[in-house]
Amino acid sequence: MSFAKAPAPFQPPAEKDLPDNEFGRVVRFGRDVFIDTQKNAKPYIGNALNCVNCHLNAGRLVNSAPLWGAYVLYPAYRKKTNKVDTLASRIQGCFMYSMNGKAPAADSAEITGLVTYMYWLAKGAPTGTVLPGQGYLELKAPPRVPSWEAGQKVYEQNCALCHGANGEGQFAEGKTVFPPLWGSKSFNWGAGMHRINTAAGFIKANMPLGRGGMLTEQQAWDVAYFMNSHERPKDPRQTTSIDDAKKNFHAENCSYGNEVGGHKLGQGD
Amino acid sequence: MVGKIILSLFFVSVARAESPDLNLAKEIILKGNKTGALACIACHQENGAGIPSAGFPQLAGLSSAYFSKQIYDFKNMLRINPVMQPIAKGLNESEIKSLAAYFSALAPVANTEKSTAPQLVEEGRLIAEKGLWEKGVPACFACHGPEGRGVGDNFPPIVSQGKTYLIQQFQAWKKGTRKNDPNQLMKTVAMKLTDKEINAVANFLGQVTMEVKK
Repeated sequence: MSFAKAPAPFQPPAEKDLPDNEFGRVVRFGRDVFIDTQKNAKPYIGNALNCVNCHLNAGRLVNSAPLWGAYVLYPAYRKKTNKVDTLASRIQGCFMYSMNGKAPAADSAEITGLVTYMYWLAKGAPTGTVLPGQGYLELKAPPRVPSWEAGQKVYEQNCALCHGANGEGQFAEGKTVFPPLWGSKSFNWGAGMHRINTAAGFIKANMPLGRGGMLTEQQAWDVAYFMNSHERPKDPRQTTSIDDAKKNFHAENCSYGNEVGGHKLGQGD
Repeated sequence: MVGKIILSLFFVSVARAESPDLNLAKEIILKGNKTGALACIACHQENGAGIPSAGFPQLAGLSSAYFSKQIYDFKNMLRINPVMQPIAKGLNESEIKSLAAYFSALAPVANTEKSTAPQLVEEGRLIAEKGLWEKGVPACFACHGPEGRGVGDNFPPIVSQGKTYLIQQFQAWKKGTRKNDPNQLMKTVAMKLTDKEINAVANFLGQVTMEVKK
């Protein structure tokens, strides 16, 4: 009886192996922008998040959209932008949507640092290859259609302790400790994480922090639906009505433009 | 008339439970009470610093909610400790509330115990700041806040806490003699760490100052 062994996940280099030269300095700056975005990229941010909130362990962790997994997949055509995005323009999108801010210039210190940090993490990774653990887990469709009530129960029992009763997050000494999950300080309606399937995959693999895998797939779907059926900052692509934006940009698994509890989602917070 | 008296008694007791009495707290801290609580200073000192070398924890600066919860958890046997059990059982609601308010208002005291194992301190620093993700252990500071100075009501400060106490708590979570951690967050972490890793973390945390770097 023998089992095929799962391929070992890609191993990014250790921080202690960073060179003490200009290249090393730029990698470290990129890492610092990534970990403490609030402090190191302040002019480009409109919420209370840091990159590392959705890309755990400084962007190294499998099934948490690791940076080494993303680096080798760009440039790429994306439906979202209907063009070929370079790594730089992809990261600019993160600033506009996930960080609810504005894009630093492609040749800015911030984007240069982030791209260089990603390149360094991906040392030895095969270009153009989807590596195991890249992106977020893709869950099968849930046995039962996700529901607000079930999601609320999962949230209260497992998430509120850290993220607060109203998804507001927790802060200490002016720093974000537990990120806000919805509301004005969270990612906006254009961020990838507003998709219920994306959030469910992230949650299943990684939440509660330190207890990843604890929730059932159904619980992950329910709580992702609950989290992403609250108001958050407006989709910056919405120039006319919510219904237009829904038609043009939200042909995906999300609550944008839907009525939940008598409220039409997408108005912004 | 009788109803009025009962009602007014009720209000008196509610009022007492609602506002902490710092004089009452001070009294218990220095002398204990008549129902089994010993003087807190015997182990935790008047400034709330505890006695690190003996494994008596620092109480200064713990949030009121966290402090109260621990006393009730000792009462309800969710934390097994032969010293604290009778003391917790000897404290009533308003005494607990008063002590919680008193200790939460004290400034945390820097731990004077110095680690003699710099390599352990460094290993502990990496775990506290970055985690041990190959085992699924997040950084201590990811939940306990900037440099482990605590966050909100559920994540107490862990810096400047004596290493003996910290090691004892990890062992208690492992053994199940402490099972009052919300959602078993600490039990899960403790089960994943080796004794050497726990020792390293405890050595490091005792060295961190409580001062907020601006």
